[in-house]
Amino acid sequence: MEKERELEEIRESDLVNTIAYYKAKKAGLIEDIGLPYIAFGILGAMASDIQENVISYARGEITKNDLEENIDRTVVTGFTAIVAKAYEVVAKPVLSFIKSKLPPVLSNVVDSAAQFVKEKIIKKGAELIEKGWNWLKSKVKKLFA
Amino acid sequence: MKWFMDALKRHCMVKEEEAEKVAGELLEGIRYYRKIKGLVNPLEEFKDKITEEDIKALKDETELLKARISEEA
Repeated sequence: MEKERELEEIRESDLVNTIAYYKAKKAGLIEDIGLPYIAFGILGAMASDIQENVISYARGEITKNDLEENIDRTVVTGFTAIVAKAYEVVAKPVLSFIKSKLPPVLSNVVDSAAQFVKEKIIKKGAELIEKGWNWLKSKVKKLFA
Repeated sequence: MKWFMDALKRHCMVKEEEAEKVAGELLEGIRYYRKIKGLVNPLEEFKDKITEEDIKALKDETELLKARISEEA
C-alpha cells in the first residue's frame, strides 16, 4: 500500500512562478492549448522545485545524479498532476455530455470517444510540460548553463 | 490570497470579477501538485479514474517526454 506523505505548505516561490507562467500564457509566450488554469499552478510549483534543486546542486548540497533524479521526479509528478486534473475538469463533463445525448445502444461510440478524449489529454499534458520546461530554461539560462 | 489576486490583476491583466476564480484554480493546481509529489507512486492517483491502457499510455508518453527533455538539455 502506498504511503501518503503530509501535504506540504504552499511556498512563496510557487506563487511567484505560477504568476510568471500565467503571465507568459496571457502574453502568448506559452501557447494556450486549452488546458484548465489549474495546469499553470502545477507548472509554477514544478518550476520552484526544479529551481530549488538546481540551486542546491550549485551549492554542492546534492550530486548531479540527485539533481537529475529530482528533476525527473518533478517532471513526472507535474505531468501526472496535469493529466489527472485535466481529465477531471475537461474530460468528465465532455463524456457526460456525450453520454446524455446518445442512446445506450451506441455505447461503442461513447467508448471510442472516451478513449480519444483521454489520449488527447495525455498528449496535451506532455505538450504543456515540454513548453513549460523550455520556457523555464529560457528564463533562467544561467541556472542550466 | 489577496496578495495573489492583486498580483494577477496587476501583472496578468486578470479582471476584478475573475480574479477570485482564477486565483482559486491556480492555487488548487499548486496544492494538487504538492499532494501528488507526496505520493510514493504518483500514478496511483489514476487508479480509480482510468483504465490500465490509459495508465500504460501515460507511462509511455512520460518516457517520450523525458527523452525529449534530456535531448534538449
